[in-house]
Amino acid sequence: MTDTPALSVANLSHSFGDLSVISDISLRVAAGEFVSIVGPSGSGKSTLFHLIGGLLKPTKGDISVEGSAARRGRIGYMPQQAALMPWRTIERNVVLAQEIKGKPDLVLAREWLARVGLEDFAKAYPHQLSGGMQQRVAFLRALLSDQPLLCLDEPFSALDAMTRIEMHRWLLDIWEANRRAVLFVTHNIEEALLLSDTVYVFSRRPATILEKITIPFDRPRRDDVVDDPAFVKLRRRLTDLLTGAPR
Amino acid sequence: MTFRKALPPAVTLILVIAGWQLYTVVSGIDTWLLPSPVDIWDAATAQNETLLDHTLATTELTLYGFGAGVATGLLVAVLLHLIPLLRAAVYPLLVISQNVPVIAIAPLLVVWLGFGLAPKLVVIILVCFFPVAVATLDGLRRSDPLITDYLLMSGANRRQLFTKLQWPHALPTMFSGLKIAATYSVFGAVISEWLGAEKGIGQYMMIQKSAFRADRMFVAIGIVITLALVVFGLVVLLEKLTVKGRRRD
Repeated sequence: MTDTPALSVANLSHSFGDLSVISDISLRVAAGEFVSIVGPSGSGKSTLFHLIGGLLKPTKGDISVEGSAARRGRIGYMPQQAALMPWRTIERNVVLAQEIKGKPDLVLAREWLARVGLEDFAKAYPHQLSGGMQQRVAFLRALLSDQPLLCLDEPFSALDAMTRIEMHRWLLDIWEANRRAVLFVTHNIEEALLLSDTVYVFSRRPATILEKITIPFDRPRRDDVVDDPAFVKLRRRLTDLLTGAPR
Repeated sequence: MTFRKALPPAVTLILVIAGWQLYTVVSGIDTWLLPSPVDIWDAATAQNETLLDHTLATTELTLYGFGAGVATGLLVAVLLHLIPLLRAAVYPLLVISQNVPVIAIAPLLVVWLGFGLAPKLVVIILVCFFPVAVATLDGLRRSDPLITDYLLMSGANRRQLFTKLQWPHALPTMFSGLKIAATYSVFGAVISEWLGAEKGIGQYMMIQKSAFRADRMFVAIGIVITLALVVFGLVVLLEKLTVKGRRRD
């Protein structure tokens, strides 16, 4: 392994016409690191993904994915809504990103579906699955795209609280066993602290980095880490940062 | 359709036919003016073979025309979708052109193309292609922007965007257009036969009209309806076979 970061963003700014959305952001995701961005809704997080994914060209600054400039087809992306194709079976949805690269591997897809408890749904259609199940499928689709960087855009924001907690455990188990570089965007502070190695706190638009926090808890992370006094303190701090209360 | 759903309209239909029969008997109205359902049935069974001949001719014409109309409609939709400049230039005119009644240009087509198959096909194409083109174009343009972004970020090119997202997404809307075109095609075939044909239900209607055979005209109408239902049914069957995994609504 080299120490080329999976993602490195340097002095990035972006505006739509006169509207400045991102202002001078620098961040990095090392290989095998789980990095979260927490920020208020509408702080340009989705724009950041579109920039990393090559849909937009940055107004200023540089983005490189595994050492080369960001372009389309370099990230495994999981959007906010599952965005599955309703006319494809689950297994055909899982291999979609591979198919675009030219080599769908249905055997691997079925193997992974079995691993996440969805083997009975391989031939089902998306509308037959619950919201949480659909998100798992969307995650597998991103994971199996076999890209150096996984970008997860508020993947659990549409789920109810119970399902969300289940999904955290699920994601931690899978990720800790596979250790891919992840950039995770959320506006849920607890979620960011629970899952990540590093958390960047974004301000309101135009987004700047208010603070970079290294999370001190061990891996594999236990569910009860949320009750740890250090966790509670961090959560307090982030809440104050994001709500603009005095530190 | 389930039995429970089919029952109410079936009962309505039987009541209407019974009422019709009753009226003709009670009022004693002349058969050439309004034949009773029984008269119509007799007229139909008396001419079995002739009717079959005409029906086959019209069916053949309908299917050719429907096929050509659908092909034209799909071609127009895909071209206008892929070439935005063409869409901007042509689409509004296409919509306006639909205000020209086909029955008004039909005689002109005979002047240009004669009495053969060609003007008949053109009439059917003219009535069929528009619903298919508009429905398909709509479906192609309205694919999910989230999935579009997803595909682009995953490195999909334009061809993959079309084959993997836009086309499959357009299928259900395309079928709505096909269903309209299916019924239009039968009606187009009959009109085109009015222009002059050696055989066909349309030609049969013209002859019976001159002979004041209302009973036989009703038979022809019955055949046209049946034919339209059959073509419609074929489209529905094809839709069931091709469109997968959508919530039934």
